Amino acid sequence: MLENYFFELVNKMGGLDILIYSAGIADKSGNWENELQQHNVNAIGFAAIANAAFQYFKLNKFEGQIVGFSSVLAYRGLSQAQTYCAGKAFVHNYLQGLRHTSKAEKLNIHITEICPGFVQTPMIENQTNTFWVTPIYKATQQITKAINNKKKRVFISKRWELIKIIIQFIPDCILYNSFLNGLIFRKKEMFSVRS
Amino acid sequence: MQKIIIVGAASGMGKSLALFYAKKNIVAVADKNITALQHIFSDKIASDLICEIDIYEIENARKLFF
Repeated sequence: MLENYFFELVNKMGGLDILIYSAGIADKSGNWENELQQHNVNAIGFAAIANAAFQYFKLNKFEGQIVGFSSVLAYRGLSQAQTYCAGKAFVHNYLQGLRHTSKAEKLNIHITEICPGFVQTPMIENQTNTFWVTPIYKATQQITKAINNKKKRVFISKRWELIKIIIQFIPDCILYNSFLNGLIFRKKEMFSVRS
Repeated sequence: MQKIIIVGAASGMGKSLALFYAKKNIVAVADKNITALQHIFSDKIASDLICEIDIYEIENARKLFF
């Protein structure tokens, strides 16, 4: 069903070169309705659109590019952010799978994963103690550069890759009491805001 | 001219990307994606989705976002 509408839209546009899925929401309430909504937007919605785009490129043997937004938080399940972390991990793995499929089937479909840290958008306006905040203009420049260069993955900004490495490999016993808990706490406060 | 679909333009990043690309490309923006996607497999929302997705060239994108 969605695929048909997606193809209809693409036909109206006269083709498609790049699909960018930047949608993502977060909520810390723990309420199931809100959590389900997060899954639907962050994971199911993403998969539905990415799948439709992939099929469009594949069936028509077109060159194309699919860009998804995961997060630094895609690499570890963190306190009170399990839904968001899980959704972003889904995006990360889904994109990785699409990339491998594209290579295995010798398709000309490029897959790009964007991993943002803090970006200066309205959702962090009222936040305190944020750090390494990337101005929106700079973030857009870095994202579009990565898309133009058909990068596999890029962190926004680049130094957020360091946080990703720490989050990914730090042992649980240290993570529980580390400054990263504070980071996540501040991060989760943003979760009531659409991201 | 590249043809680009941006889903999730409600975030600051999406707007920024849409504006950037709308300067020299055809861009379709799917806004209000939360409402659309949370029931993505229902007939109603599927039929609404095409209404919420529209095609904007630069002037329309500017009107939409600023």
